[in-house]
Amino acid sequence: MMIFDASNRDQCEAKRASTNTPLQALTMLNDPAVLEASRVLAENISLTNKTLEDKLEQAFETIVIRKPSKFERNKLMDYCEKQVAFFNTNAPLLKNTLAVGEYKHPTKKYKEAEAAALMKTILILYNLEETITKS
Amino acid sequence: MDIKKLNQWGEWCIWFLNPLLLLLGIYSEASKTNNILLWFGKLHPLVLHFPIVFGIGIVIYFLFFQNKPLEENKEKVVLVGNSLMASMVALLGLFLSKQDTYDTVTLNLHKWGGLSIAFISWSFIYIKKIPNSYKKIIALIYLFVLLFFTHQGALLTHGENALSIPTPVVVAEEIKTVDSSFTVYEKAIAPILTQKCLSCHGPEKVKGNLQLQSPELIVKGGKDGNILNAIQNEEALLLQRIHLPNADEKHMPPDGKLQLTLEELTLLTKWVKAGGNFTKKISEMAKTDSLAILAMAYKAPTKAVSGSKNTAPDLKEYNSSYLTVNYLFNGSDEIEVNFFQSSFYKKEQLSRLVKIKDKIVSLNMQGMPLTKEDLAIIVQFTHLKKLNLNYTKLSLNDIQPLKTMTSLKNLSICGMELNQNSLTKFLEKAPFSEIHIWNNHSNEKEFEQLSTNYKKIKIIIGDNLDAEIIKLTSPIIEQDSSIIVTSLDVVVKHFLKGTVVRYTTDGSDPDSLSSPIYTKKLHFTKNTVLKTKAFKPGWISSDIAQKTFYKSDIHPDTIYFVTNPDKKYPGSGAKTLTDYELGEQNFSNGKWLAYRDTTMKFIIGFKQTIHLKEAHFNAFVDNGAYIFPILSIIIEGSNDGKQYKKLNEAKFPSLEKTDVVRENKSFSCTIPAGASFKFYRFTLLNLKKLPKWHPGKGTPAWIFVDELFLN
Amino acid sequence: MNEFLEHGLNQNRRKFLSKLSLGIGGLALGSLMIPGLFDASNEEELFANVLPHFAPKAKRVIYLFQNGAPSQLDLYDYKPMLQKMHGQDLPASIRNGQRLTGMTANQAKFPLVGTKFNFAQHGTSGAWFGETIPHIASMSDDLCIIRTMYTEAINHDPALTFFQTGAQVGNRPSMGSWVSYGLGSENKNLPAFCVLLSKGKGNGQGVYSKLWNNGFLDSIHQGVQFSSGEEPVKYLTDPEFIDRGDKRKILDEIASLNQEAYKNIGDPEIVTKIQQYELAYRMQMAVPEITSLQNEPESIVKMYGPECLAPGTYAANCLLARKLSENGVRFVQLYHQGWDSHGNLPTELMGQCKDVDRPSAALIKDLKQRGLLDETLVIWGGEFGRTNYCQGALTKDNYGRDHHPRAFTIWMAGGGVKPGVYGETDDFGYNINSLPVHVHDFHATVMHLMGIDHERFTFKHQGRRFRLTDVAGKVVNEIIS
Repeated sequence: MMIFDASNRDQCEAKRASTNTPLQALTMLNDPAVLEASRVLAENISLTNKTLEDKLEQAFETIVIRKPSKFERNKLMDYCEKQVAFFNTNAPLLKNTLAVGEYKHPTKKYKEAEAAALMKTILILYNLEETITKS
Repeated sequence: MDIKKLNQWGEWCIWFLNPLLLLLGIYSEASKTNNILLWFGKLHPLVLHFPIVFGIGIVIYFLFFQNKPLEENKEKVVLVGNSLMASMVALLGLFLSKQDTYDTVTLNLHKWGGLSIAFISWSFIYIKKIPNSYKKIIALIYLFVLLFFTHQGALLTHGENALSIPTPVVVAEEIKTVDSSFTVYEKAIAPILTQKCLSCHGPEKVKGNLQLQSPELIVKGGKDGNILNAIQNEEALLLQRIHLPNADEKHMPPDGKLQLTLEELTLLTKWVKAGGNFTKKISEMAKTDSLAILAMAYKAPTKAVSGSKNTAPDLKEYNSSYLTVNYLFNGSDEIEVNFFQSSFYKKEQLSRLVKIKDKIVSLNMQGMPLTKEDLAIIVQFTHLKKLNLNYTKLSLNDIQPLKTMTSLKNLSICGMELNQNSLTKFLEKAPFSEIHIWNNHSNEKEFEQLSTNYKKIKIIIGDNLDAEIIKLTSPIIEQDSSIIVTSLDVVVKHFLKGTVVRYTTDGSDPDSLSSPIYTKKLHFTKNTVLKTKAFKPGWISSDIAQKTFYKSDIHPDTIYFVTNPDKKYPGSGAKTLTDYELGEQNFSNGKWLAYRDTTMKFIIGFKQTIHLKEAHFNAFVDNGAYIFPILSIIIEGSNDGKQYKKLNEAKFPSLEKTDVVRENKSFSCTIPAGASFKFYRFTLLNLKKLPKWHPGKGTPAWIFVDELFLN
Repeated sequence: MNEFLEHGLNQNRRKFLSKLSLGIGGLALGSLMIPGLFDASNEEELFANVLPHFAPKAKRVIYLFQNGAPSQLDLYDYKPMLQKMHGQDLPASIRNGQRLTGMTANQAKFPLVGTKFNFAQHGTSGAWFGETIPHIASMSDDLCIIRTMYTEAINHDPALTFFQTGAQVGNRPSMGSWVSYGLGSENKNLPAFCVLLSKGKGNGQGVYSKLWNNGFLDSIHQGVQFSSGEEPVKYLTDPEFIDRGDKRKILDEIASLNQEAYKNIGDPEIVTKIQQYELAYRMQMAVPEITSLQNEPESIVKMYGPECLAPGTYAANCLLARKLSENGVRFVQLYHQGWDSHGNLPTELMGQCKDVDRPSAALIKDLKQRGLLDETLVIWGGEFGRTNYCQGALTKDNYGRDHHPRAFTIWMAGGGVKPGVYGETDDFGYNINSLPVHVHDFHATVMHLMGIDHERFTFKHQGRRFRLTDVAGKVVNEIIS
């Protein structure tokens, strides 16, 4: 959390300083913990019996706590669909992608390509300004 | 419409207009107008005469006719009408001001004057009942404001001499061609003064009682007297002021105003030093006279630049993520270029700069993979003064063409292979004044001769410390835990390449011959003192880095204090001793137990009788903080928990005056073989009186203990 | 409003308010004509074209902050008088009733302490140096030593904050942030303002991220703190299942969604976020090349001392600072902790000097041999000095010194400063005899060296224009070459 300038507890901090550095961007994009979190959330959502669009919406609502706008929905859906197509033709990479982290995979069957695509979309959602910064 | 209604409407209009006026007045520079409003602005000179006439009438009325006042409503019509007109005129004036560029000082005066007229007119409506004497005072102020500020307006439109008696005006002829029949004053000095000085020392403002618009006035000087003649060994006042440092209060032109350029500074200086002549023509002067040459070459800027705008061409197109191209500073037309990140270097980026080649004065290509072709481009940058070619893979032979660049003064070629001979050849007839040639193995002796041969060139060889022999850092033992439960892997490393780490595990010091060389991680299963030392040819071998690892395979079933630790350092009770957590270097982090006034005593107990071979205590010693070593450890055994039998005592040396210690230390006590017990009692003695040499002499010393290892 | 006046003005509250509503209408109309009236100020773009104000002498700064306040009396400011009067009380005429810290204010006596260390003169300026810093002393001819710095704060945190931000309370932008704001980054692949921390062996004082905070400036100007571990920047490598093209796509998606949010909300921090993500993307390529210290030749390792390869040491940070600066980072800020020697000063000082002496000198040498010293300003100094009297018990060879803000020494090198010694303290090293330099003056001078007129370099915040030097500060022209 020091990368996000959290208080080091030496002193009381009445108000968190607003902070925004490239190091934080790197953490949010590449930290295995963040990747694992997106993988697990993607898998959990994939277990439900919904259309891809509904799954995407569920992910969006879970993370951003509001419904996506039309623009956002289209944009994300577009990306996600392309990723599904990509993963369908690229099995080794699919396996690699879902291998992130130590958290156990669900025991029930789920569409793996969809989960991987969802995972990368969730990574995008985690990195939105709206998700990271309270303002 | 009856007269009362009329007044009310009028009043409403004013209440609408005046706040608008105030707002537009304050933000007049930021406000935008459209063409229709601009056209309305033109009405300003037409309508303005109404409120002036009305205003003067009202002043007269307030001054002389208060004993015969008008009927209330009629009076109000006049006042409201006047106020309304004043506000309208002011508003139109604001529109007009957007249309043309006027002198800002006069314009500002006029603007605020006009606004205050509007506001005083407004107040007239509401001062009916105040005493007459006050009214008279307000009326007089009003009269003054009215006359003075409307005159400012007249100055704006009709020019400086709007209301002064006409005198014949000599119009200075505009200088159109470069002609040596002009005087130095006409050609250069007057334009400089006009552009840089007249705004404060001219017809409009006369700061320091000095005006510079004509030869007569220049000769006359200002409040400190003559400005051209040197007085008693001092420079002429004009020269003093323009040569002061910028930050000096008396520096001219003042900080923030448009400054003199170097050329202008030289011109003024030379002209004053040559006597400040107003009549001498350039053609009458010697061709080699530097003043004449400078004056001929001087071109007055066509229009005064507003100080902060950079008019030089935009450099955006040359910039990229890996290349920055900038002017040296705002207003400069000299360009510096920096390349970054060799893996993205492209020749095209460099060749594109040829378009601005005459302006580039500084080029940094450190680390770029350059070739001869690249250099051929660089050579075209003929105005280059500073060039950084550190680590560019070019050879001394490749950069020969640089010698043709006469303005290149500062060259860096660090990392380039060279020796005395090749460098001597390279520096032959070179234009440089400073060259940086450092590389890994250059040394000063080799180039000593060179520095004496080329006195004009500063050859910076840099430091090479190959000859100096310094000490290696100790190896790093990468294992935080020092407790071996069953077994423990230990990694040792050293950051410097080519270093050999040798180690021992028997407590002896490692040496460079017989001690084993560390190659792969070590595996410990019993009490071990690991000592490591780094060796490398050309270096002094490092200090020993050591760490003790304790086997602790016995864990007591109960543990309790006989005497309690000091209140300030209670740790987490008796279990602190066996929690496998070490307290590190910070003794106030709650992981330490400390005793001072009482002697440390505690008992450990087992369900079964057990034989202990050895007990180790990890303790902290810091004589600066009054923490001394444990003086002695006494171990007693018992089977019933009542009768204890002394098993052994281990004593340890205290500190000497010269010791400076701040570290973790271990203290161990063995137990003779034979007997097994259920309970063991430990007594740890501290030093009861600090020695005389210590600042805390006479008081007891602390002991700090954090862990007990048993096996 | 009293009734008489009310009558006199023929006006009352109801009439006034009813008419005022018309006035508000007028204001509303007026505001339509002033398009920028309610917009946030857009000074950033304004500055882009105006700075530097004049030709800069220094393009980059490396600030070696000695956190905790090193003792000027044991390092630079040689006072034989103190040795002569060792153990005697500080004359009241010298102290002149000035305030002391709570740590020594209650001391019954203030015995003067002469330094335990030998001093010698070095270089053409004949500047004095203590024996604990032989390498810095050997660079004497490059150093501009200011013996007469003084500050207003007497405790670490406010003094440090004052030095870094120009104000004792927090929340103002750091020096490095101002520079980043004014001049931007030279190398677009690295942050303009980097921060490196190291710990010494002596008594340490904390450093907090507020010291390199952007304050009211845009957060793109925040100092980027490099980690003191083996990876100075964490998470630089992409996960193996995301390649560069993939990463680019992800960034584009994030940026376009953020851009949309900006359109709807208008918070400029969103734009900054997009910029920081771009910078992060480029840093992934640039940083590994720059921060790998392993490839430095052995002669460089010897120069900085072998500790320079151990991450997180002062020596390693000096070397890293050189590499960052060489690669276009405008402002590299180091902090080395451990100078706060209230007691045990001789021992602690020796430990600190061992860490600091060789690398500090090496940095100057290294920049010089690469031809970079003339455009890089190196600053070495603490937040205040230490007292000439002893804190705690004075023994023959052990003593401590308390905080002393009234006169202390810092030095600068390169970047257009004139080598030599500036200013003089009294024989007791307590007060300034001539040429005082206030912290504001120091800031003004550094800004000037970077081509910035500190009085014209402002940022409008909450209705007032702020400067690094607030309303004070004079450029010390005498130390500029």
